[in-house]
Amino acid sequence: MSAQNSPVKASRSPSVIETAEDFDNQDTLLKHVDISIVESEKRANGTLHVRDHYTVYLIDLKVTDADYKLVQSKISTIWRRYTEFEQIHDYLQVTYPHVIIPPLPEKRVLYAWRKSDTTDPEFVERRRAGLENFLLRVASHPRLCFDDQFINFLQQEHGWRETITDSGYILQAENKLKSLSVSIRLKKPDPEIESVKNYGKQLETNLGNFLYTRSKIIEKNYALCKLHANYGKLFSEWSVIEKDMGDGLQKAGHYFDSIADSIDSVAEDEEQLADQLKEYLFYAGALQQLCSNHETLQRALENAQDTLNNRISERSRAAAGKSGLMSRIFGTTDPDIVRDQLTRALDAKIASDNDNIEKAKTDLEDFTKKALVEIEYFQKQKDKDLHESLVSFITLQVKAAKKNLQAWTQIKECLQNMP
Amino acid sequence: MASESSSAVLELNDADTEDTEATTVTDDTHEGVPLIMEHGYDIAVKVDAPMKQLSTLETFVTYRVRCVCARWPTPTHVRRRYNHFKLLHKRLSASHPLVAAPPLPPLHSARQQLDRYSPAFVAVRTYALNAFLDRVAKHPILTHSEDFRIFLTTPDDELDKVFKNENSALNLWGISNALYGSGETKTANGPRVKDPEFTSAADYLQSLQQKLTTLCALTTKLHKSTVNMGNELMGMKRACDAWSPSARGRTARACGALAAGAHAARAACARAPAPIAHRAVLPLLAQYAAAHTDKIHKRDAIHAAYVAGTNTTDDLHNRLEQASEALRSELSDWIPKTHTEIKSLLLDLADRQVNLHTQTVLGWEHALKLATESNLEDIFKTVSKTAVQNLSPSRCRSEMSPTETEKDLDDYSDEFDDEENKKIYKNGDVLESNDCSDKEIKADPLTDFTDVDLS
Repeated sequence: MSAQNSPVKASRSPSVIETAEDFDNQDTLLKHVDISIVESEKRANGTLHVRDHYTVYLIDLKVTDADYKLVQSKISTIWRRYTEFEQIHDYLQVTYPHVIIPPLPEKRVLYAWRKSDTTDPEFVERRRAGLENFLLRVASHPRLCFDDQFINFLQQEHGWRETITDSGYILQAENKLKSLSVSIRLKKPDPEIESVKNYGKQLETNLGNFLYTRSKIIEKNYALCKLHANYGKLFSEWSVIEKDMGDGLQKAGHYFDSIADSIDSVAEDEEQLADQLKEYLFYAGALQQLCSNHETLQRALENAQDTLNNRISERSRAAAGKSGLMSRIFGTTDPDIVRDQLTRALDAKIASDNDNIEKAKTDLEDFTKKALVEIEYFQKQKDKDLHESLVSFITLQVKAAKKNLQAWTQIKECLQNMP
Repeated sequence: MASESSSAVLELNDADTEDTEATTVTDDTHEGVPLIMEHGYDIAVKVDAPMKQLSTLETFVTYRVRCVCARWPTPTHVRRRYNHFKLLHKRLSASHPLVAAPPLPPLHSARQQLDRYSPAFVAVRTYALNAFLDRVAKHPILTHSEDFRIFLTTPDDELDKVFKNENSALNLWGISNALYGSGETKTANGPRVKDPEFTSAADYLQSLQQKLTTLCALTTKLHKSTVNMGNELMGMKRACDAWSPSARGRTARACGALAAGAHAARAACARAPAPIAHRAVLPLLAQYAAAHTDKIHKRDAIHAAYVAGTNTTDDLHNRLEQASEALRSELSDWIPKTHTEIKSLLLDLADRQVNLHTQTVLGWEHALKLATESNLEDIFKTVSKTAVQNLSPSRCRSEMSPTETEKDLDDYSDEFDDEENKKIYKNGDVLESNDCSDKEIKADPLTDFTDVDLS
């Protein structure tokens, strides 16, 4: 299920990612194909219950590289629904524990400031954009993009659900959940990973707060701007009964209406920015997930070491002939034959224990190496993306404030020109 | 109330001290706005400086009334309470039945009784009383009323002797009754007489009344919503302040900038002055329009009675003529004045809003600068290098930290891109640029450099 099984030339496999810079050197799927989600459609499960309606999204694949053999046809389209996206996402999470898996857009409506649910056309549109973003993120990640199941997700018309279920990822995911529910207390936690985990938690909190306050502000701002529509109505009705003031009032009324209308596009733009921030809110969760995976491996190593230590003390007791319960109670020693048998058996186990420890160590080192590169790359990308989003947010505020200022300046002028 | 004063001094001072004077309970040592008569008038009045006064029986608020008049000598100031104003209003209405007296600000509602001395309430009432007295002073008929003179000139301690409730009430009720009689009220069921001149006037006044009431409600709500917005912006500032310590690099800067922007926007909202003038004057004008409408209906009643023919005496005809003439002259005086007042109130509102939004724009623009300016410094540092070197991606990367350069350049070009630029491809963009030709990368920093120069 990993890159080794995919029909890709060896040179393309992401084997030499030593540093964050190497990330950019790697070959990715996105360099050869264009992926986009072009539209969405409502489907029903046969019954007319509202519950059984769901939305599907049309993934459009265009091969831009003429020689690319991986993807079967030049242009292909396929319909997928959100739960199928969830499946591929969960699969990736389980299969690549050392990678920060790009997050899906929200399942339920978060930080809503007006009544909306997942069937709302605006929400569907935002989700479409979010899912497209997810695909692009995965397709541009050198470790993830050539995964068999992912390629199948993009192309396999029929039976994809069976294929992915066969991979057995669900069982792995459940196991992982079980292990996570046991709180992991390490004897010697890795300080770097610890700090990354804490950073992830902080980022999650901060982004959450920001998104919450932003939703409150846009709610109030929206109501405030729509209030101006009432002014507009008042003024235009008033202009009818006035002679001298009529002209000025009517003109002013139009500007009031423009204020009320302008907030709609501002709200839409801001919602897009909020979605960008939400992506990183979920990314922060994925970052913490990565740290947890590291902790799991470290725990495994510590367990293996504990097992070895216990075995060694067991062996030394066996060598002294004091292996059984009888010796503990009565102080008797075992007969020589028993003693030798036990000792030899335990020696064999100790050898395998040592092997286990070596394997766990290698696993952990391997994981840590890959994970740290991943984290470094992620930090850089995150810094750029968040900065961009925040600057766009400020720019949007400037734009909105300027629009208001302009409208009110015009209103003032209209009023001044009244006799 | 100096709505459109030819005296610039009065206007300026009003704007400055209006809020402070009206909202604080001051004493008479405070000089207050200098009283200057407007062009065309021989009198100027001002109500200000509300003061709580305790007497043996009750506590109440008095207002300082000042007046300068060419017709009679006036004391520097006198103190009057709401009841005195009420009495003046009653007497004016009684002695001039054909003319609608300017309305007073309303009595306390039951709820407001709990808050009789709240600064906001007192401020609005002071303003409204001022408007009332000003209208009386500028009214061609009422200004010559004896009651008005008494009100303005009697020293405080002698006032109660002259301004007694009972006597005047009885007398004047008698007079007004005689003028209108009691028969006319029955014509409500009789044939309706439609006089186009007065009907259209009545219609206009009724609509105007409605409009003014709506306007007042809207403006109050606008102010309240603005203040609420300010509170929410405070929340955002706090969120950003909490975020920036743990954020890194450019994000921290952007965060701090956002906090600054939110702070400035919030300050602008908080600074928005309460619409006291609107809340005081607009309801007053609405009531005033209603009072006129009332007079028109009374006139129509006389007209109906006259037409009904049962009482065709010269007396009725005279009264009809009197009433009609009084109304005509009143309205021809009132409507332009009111329009002027409305215009100045609306301009005041527009002014405040323009101020608010100007401050908001400045605040956010400053924030934008804060968030982006250091990027330009980074660009300056790296431009020369990239411009000089042969820009094959691998060469580039070997010389300096590539991710930062490329990302800074992308950053920079993104900021100057169209707002419609979809940010979805951001990850793709970064990797795409690596495959760009040398020329493209060379072109970018140089054009950006020129952009920076000009801006």
